[in-house]
Amino acid sequence: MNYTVPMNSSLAYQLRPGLAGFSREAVFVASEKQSLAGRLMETVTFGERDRAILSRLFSVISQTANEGWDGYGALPVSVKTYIKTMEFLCVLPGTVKLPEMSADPDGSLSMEWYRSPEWIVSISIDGNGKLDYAAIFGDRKYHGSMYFADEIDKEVLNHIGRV
Amino acid sequence: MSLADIPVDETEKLSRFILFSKWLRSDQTVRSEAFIPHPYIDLSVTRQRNISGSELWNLGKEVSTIRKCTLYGRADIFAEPVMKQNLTIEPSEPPLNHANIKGYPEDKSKQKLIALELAAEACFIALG
Amino acid sequence: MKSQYSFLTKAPIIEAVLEIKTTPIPVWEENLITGKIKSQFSTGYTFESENIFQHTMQFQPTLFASENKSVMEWNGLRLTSEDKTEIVKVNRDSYVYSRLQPYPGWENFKEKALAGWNDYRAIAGKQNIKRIGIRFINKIEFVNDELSELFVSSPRTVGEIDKSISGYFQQNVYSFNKGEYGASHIQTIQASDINNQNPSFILDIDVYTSEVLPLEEKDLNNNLEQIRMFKNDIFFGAIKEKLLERLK
Repeated sequence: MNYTVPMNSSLAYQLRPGLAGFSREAVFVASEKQSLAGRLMETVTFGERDRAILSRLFSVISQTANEGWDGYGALPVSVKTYIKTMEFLCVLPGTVKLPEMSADPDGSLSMEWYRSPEWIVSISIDGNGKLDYAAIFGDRKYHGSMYFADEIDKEVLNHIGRV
Repeated sequence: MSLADIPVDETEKLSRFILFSKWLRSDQTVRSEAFIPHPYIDLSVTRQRNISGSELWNLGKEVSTIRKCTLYGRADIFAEPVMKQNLTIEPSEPPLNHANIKGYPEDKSKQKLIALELAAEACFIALG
Repeated sequence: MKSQYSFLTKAPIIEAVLEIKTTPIPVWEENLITGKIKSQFSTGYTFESENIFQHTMQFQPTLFASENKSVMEWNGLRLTSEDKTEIVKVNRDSYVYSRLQPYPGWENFKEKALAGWNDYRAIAGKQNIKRIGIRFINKIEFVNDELSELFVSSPRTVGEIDKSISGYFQQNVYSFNKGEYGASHIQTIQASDINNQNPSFILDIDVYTSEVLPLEEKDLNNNLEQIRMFKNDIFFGAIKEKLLERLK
């Protein structure tokens, strides 16, 4: 049997919704997945990381729900932005540490992997899935934009992995 | 005394008031999000020129009172590193000592890179 | 020895789906897009707006939410054919075509799905494809203890104490072509209901790629054939000869 070590062993990633479906059977499968995910999430073994994700997100959301939360006219973080960022965090490989969360004044959520001011990656995601990143590794600097669907771009993953 | 007609010198210190706790790291360094412009492509700052420390804090407290936010402190940065990013700092009063950092690129990822570098140059001063 | 590509006159397909994810349509205004969709898609569909519910709360130091704001945001349109066998979903960043029973065959399914995709492109403009996937949900009724005779992998009890299986869910995730394609292979059991006096085995296969993305329309067709091949490999690999004969 060929076995590839999964890049991502996160429970949420393994049991994430697949393609759309409208039949009763599609709804049934989705419900079974959700039920299974729910039961496993309750455990420390499987649910720890996903709960940490929720906790970090909620910590930011609760402070950015109002317009002007930064004192300068910032837009509130929307539910869609929260969902998109959650999806991103859930497909992050389990071997990668979770980022520190914050928010940008334009209402997107931002994630930071930080070792020092000269070794850092910052990623922002908005409600449409637009992902903007910037990274500094000593004298090397990178930046770029893309749309996040459900897989993290390899270049972005490489940057995160370097921190 | 109004600074509206006095250009910003590169040796001047500027302050960005921190009213969102997540813009600070646990080691009290400033995160780049504090230097991301919105809604326009410019960033609001306060010049420290010609005002005392307490006057500066009062300006910050005014903002926090109006916005009903908590003032955690301020991020101080010299004008020089800002100018090195090909940004300009234009006085814009009222309020007193207010200025706008202008010239950010429209591309958000480029804004982020600039913000990372500015945050690295900034120093957090806690209120109190 | 069974052929991987045997033609099945009784293919147990409950639903076949094509989903293409794209970069978001820049201008996403309900009246504008709805008008375009209704004029672009052929007659014979009913239209239904889909909304997502956004609820924001204002937090104050007292920890109780002091202000609630609920917003319904338009999420796209769902089109259903008059005979209810086809469903199309037009979202800001995806196109979905679903064919319910009776399954008309691969060529017919592909043709209709791609025709709908062209209609979507006419509305969306030149958006970049981010992901392509095909999903086939199969349903096979079974009786008593015959599951192990029908499927390569089936639920079985372990241990010595008498017990029965009251739930089953298995998911394998595969990687093809060194990660260029991914697939999810789910097996589960659905209880009997008023439509089915016996329980059913659900074999749900979805194959997708975010790596091999077609730049031209002809490449899309080739891509779909490749995805179909992987899907068939899983399907025919998951069933035994006894079931294959039953489906021919």
